[in-house]
Amino acid sequence: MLARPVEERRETIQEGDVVIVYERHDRMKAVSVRSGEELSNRYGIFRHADWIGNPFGCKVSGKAGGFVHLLAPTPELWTCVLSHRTQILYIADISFVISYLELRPGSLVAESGTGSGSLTTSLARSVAPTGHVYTFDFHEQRANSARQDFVKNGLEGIVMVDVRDVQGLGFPDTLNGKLDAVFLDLPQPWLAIPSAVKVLRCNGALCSFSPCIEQVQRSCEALRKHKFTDIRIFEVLMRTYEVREEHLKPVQQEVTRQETLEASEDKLSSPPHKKVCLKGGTGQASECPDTVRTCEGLIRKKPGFRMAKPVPETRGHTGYLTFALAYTS
Amino acid sequence: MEEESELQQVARLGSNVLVDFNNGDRLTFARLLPSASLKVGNSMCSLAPLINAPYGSAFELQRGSLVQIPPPLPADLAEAQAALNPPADSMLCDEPRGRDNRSLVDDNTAQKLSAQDIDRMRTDCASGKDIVDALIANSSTFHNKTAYSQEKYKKKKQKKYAPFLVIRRPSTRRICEAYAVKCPPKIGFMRMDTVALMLSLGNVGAHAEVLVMDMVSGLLTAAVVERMGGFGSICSVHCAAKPPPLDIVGLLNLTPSMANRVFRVSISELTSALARDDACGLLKESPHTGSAQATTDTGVCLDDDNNKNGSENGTEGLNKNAKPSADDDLNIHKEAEQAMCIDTKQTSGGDIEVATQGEELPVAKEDGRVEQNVSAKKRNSNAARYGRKPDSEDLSHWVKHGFTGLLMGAPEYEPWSVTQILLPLLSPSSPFAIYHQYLQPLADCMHELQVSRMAVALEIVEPWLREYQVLPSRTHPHMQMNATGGYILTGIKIAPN
Ligand SMILES: C[S@@+](CC[C@H](N)C(=O)[O-])C[C@H]1O[C@@H](n2cnc3c(N)ncnc32)[C@H](O)[C@@H]1O
Repeated sequence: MLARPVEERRETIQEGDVVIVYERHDRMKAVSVRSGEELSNRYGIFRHADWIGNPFGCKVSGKAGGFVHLLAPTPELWTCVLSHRTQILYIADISFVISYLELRPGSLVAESGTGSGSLTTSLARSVAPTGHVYTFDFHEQRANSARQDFVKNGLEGIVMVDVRDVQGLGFPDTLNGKLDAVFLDLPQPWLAIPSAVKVLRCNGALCSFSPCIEQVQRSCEALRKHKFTDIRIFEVLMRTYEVREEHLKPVQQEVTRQETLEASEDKLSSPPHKKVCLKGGTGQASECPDTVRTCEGLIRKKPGFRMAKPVPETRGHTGYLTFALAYTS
Repeated sequence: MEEESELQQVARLGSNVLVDFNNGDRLTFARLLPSASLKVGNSMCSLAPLINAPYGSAFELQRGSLVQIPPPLPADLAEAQAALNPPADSMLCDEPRGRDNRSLVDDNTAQKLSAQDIDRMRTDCASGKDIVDALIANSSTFHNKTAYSQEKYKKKKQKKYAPFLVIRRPSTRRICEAYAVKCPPKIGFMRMDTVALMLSLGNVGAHAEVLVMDMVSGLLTAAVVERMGGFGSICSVHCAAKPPPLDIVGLLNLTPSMANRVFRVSISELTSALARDDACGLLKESPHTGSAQATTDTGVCLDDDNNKNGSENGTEGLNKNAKPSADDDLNIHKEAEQAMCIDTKQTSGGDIEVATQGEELPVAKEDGRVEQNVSAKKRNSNAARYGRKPDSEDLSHWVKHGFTGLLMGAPEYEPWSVTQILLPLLSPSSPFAIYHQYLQPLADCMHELQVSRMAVALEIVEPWLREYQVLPSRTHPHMQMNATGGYILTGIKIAPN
């Protein structure tokens, strides 16, 4: 998943790689490549063996003739395909958190809870290759599944997963004073704030994600009590647009057609319901409304309007992001 | 790494710092040189006391010089903030009963302290807070004011008698926020959440090889450099003969190893390298529409004059100073002089070593007023160097293996015209993120990409950001909101058949 140094870069798919099988933007799947195995979906049956040696980004055909694209995994694609063991963070929140916390290669960051590892995977990309993500969840099974995912995506050197009740016990003392940033996605984040003070370095940054404003209020009180500065609260969302080319008729055409129809009805000629290209009212030759004549005299479909509209199903709220800086003494 | 994380946490001699006055009243970039000075309140103060202070440190003016103080706590600031930003129609939820402004008379007799008294306190070295407290104690009307007016009074007096400042590391995030308030056209009206999204969508991280087209004063380039931390390379591509300015990169405190990873190259150098490579048959792909242009030698479709539409959006002039020049390298370092949308003037009494670098970015306050206290200085000739020319090995490497991501912020150009030239330079399965302030040009570009089957996972996204004030009984969204952060067209390039 993480980019490798130039000398080690590899562009072709190999045994054991994770690929994202892309059907449509809302139909993707992570698959570990094992020659001998097959993938079957609505586009046919695909032999993994046929994929090996092809470049990432290639189009492959199945036995039934359908095709899919095989993409290299990225944290963004991973967020789309991971198995939801919990609620997860999505790209709008994730990208904002990472930018606001000013994470960069070498940063040390702690997170709780790990949940499904959606955020963790992006955190790992931003601190690699020299930084670390310490992530904690009190749910052992979730922690284990997340760890397996991190190994599968090659993040094991960057991400450390532990089972721990962070609201009850705080972060481990071994992290004291070391961290550049702390991220909380917990039901009662205010309980973890006293511990966040200890593990953060001077002027280190904290972020807490909470769906409810009451959680935010309690967190802010705790932050003020623990001398955090620069407390700011944001809500981020992302609206997605789809684009289509459509032909919209100028109303004049309709009026002209109507007039022509009426005229021809008078003469008892072509029946009104029959869709034909009619001569324009002016008596000059004209084409169907959505065609144009090219300079060679060929009749071509006229380019329509490229129109963008928001996709109807959009998240209206995910949560509030509360940021603060540890006190500089 | 040691050196790098150190630079992140402490303002060193020669570092650029972002100076935040009175909790957001005014933001200024300054370069910490021994002779540097800055206007605080009414006096010019030496910035020397800031050198070696950790970021986040606070200072106030005492007897004409800056003295470190404990950073003011949000518990106090928040109160002031809330009172100054009351819910609509000033209905403060917990105003003590019966207290309002009905009996307030302004006859200039309310303050019992005279100007001489205050001056005496100052020469006696009273702290700003002491003076403000004394003013309040000696005001006969203060206690009858509403909480709102009390805070307004306090804040006004504090600004006058006890201005404080906090130093911040100039990160791309903070720089973007400052520009977005003061001179949004310089950064193509991008918002910090827009930049954040683009970094994610472009899969930017260590060891990436990112192609960036930056006509937003270096904002995108800076964001990428920062995120990559010296691993991988950033190829900043330009189309006019003279590369556009990347001033913002110069505001970061880049270590040499980070600055070293930034390359600048013209679009024609890249496309002719691609054409050479193509001729050797190593890469067989050319988008059906783009190839003719892609093989010509100069600025291609990207002629300045053809693209001067949409000037009312304020992006005009971004590239106007572009004059053909034979020597790219020299220009890169001179360009910093141009393109600041803020008046700059020389500091008085500054020697050649120049007081502070960069420009002043006054920032609008909650109530929308803007502090226009401009006092920026000439740039230091030692400004961080950024953008070296790639050698032929770099070029042929990029052409052979392709970039791992593309970020574009070029508000003046037709997105599709650029995309069809740059996309062939990406390796298959690499993502791209193209910014535009307007939706329509991206819709056109997306349609062309759909039809030409060059990419999958195509989407146009519009980031949305809202800030909140959260205080007991006074939680509400901020009154001011930047309504648009523009649009991003994103997708993943696929391998040509
Ligand atoms: C909403 S999920 C986090 C999702 C994650 N941010 C993601 O993007 O995938 C919250 C997680 O917090 C964990 N959690 C709840 N209380 C906890 C506690 N006291 N200590 C540690 N983890 C806890 C839950 O088990 C759950 O997995």
